[in-house]
Amino acid sequence: MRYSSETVERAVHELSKLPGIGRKSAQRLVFFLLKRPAEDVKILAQALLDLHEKVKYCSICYNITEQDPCHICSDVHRDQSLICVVEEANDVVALEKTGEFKGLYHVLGGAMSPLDGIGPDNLKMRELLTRLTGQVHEIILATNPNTEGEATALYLVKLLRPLELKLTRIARGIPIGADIEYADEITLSRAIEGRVTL
Amino acid sequence: MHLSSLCIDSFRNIEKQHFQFNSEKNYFFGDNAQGKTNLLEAIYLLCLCKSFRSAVDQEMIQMGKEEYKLNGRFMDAQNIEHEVLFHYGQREGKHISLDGKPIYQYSSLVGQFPVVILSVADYDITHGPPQQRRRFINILSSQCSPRYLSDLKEYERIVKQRNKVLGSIQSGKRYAESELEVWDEQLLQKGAAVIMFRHQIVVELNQLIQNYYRIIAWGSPDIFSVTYQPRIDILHPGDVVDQFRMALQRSHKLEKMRGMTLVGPHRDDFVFKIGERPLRNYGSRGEHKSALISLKAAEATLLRQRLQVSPLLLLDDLYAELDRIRGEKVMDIFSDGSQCFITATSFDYAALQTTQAINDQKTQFFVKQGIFTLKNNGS
Repeated sequence: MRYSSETVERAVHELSKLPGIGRKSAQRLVFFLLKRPAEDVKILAQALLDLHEKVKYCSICYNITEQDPCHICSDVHRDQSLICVVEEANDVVALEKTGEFKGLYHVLGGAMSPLDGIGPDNLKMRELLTRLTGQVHEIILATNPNTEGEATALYLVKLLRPLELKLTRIARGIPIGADIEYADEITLSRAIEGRVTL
Repeated sequence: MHLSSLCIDSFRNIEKQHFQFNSEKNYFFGDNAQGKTNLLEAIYLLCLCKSFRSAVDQEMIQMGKEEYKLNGRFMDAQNIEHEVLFHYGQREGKHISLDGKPIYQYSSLVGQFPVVILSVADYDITHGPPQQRRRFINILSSQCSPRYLSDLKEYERIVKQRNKVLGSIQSGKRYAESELEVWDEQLLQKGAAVIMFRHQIVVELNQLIQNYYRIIAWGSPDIFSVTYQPRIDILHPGDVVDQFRMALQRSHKLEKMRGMTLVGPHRDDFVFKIGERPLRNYGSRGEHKSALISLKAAEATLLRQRLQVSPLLLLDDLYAELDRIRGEKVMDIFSDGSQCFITATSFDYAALQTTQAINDQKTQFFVKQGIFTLKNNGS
């Protein structure tokens, strides 16, 4: 269906390009916005514009930031000898929430997936290598425990092995606070495989 | 385990129908193309979330309708009822729920309600190309072990990723060579897990089929056997990864030329033999049928042994191509506590009236143009 207003039509079209938003949802959003006070819509529009104007990638770790270097990279109290390699900026947020990790990060910007046309050159791997001065002693590979994340970790191991750093991979198994009886069979059988000696 | 009732709405040629099933044997008689196989397909869908015929949900909607619904109630070994709802609509897509809770990963349902199907398409297991044999082993193994299904799915994904890399190398992109190794390592680990499980399943299957074939093909001195033929030496199961690695290294050059993965379980085959003769090349139609029946009976027994649950048996057009004696004996090898759904033609019905087996059965349905009626035989 076409609207009598070209502006509405254009807004629907643009919104429906977003992930998880079909044409129907886009229409609902547009009519919601039409009913909102102009000031509210301006705030939303400005927030969206700021995304591209103010947010950039940290030139050291490639996390998203407004200041370069980001607040983590420029924090002298953090352990400069430890770098945790993750796929996306979201992963940094998750790890930061723990409050446990005091080292630095490196955001690859994805994982290797030839089917999606993503190879090592599309990820921030060379940039990681340039960071590895004498200060860094350990690299934690925290890519996702799936096929693509595993491949990326293996590739990094191959790349970093000659540098004689300590290389570690995050553990996988049963989530804390979960009951063993509720864990799915796959997680459980992998957890048994990866058991540790006490 | 058994299916106690089933509601079908707008599925293929079945408009609306409610069934109460016998926990042992249910016969469905009718002429050709009346809807017998459609009923078995509906039951199979509830158990495995996919059809044994076409993979397209759209085709399963009754002509002129926009959606179909299946609602099955299973009784498990502890006599606890489970309800599976299967709904497919042109707009909404597929929705499956178990006991009122939506199922997002269909694979989590596999093995909960184990099922064995014997249908015309299964002739391809002993007669057709290797992929049909792999499919048979995959469905059986996946129902036995969720870990196998997960390893297999990951393995298939790795093969696709790796083929893409090999394709780049084939088209002259030399930088892709450095990527190959990381996919190789995962291919070896997951592939070896799949090979080892298949090896074990075939060993167990082999013991069972010999026994069943002896019963169904009585008087035949030949032994029916199956052997696993991976392209990798698995004589020493502990070294499967190493053997796989060597085979992969040997074929690297060829793989880069062809742009695809050439060794691994995605190219396995299984050989069925009667005596010393490979069944695929030399078997008569009747021999294929006897072999297939033994194989399906063995599949059911294997599931029962491993899961401690009796699978549902869906036996489509069971009596086709069986001679009189085999026809009379066939239900003996399937009467092992499993609930059976047997379809047969009106022609078979007449023949079966002379045997004792059929007259003992209480639950017989007659099918005409998608409408099933229960035979009232007064017992």
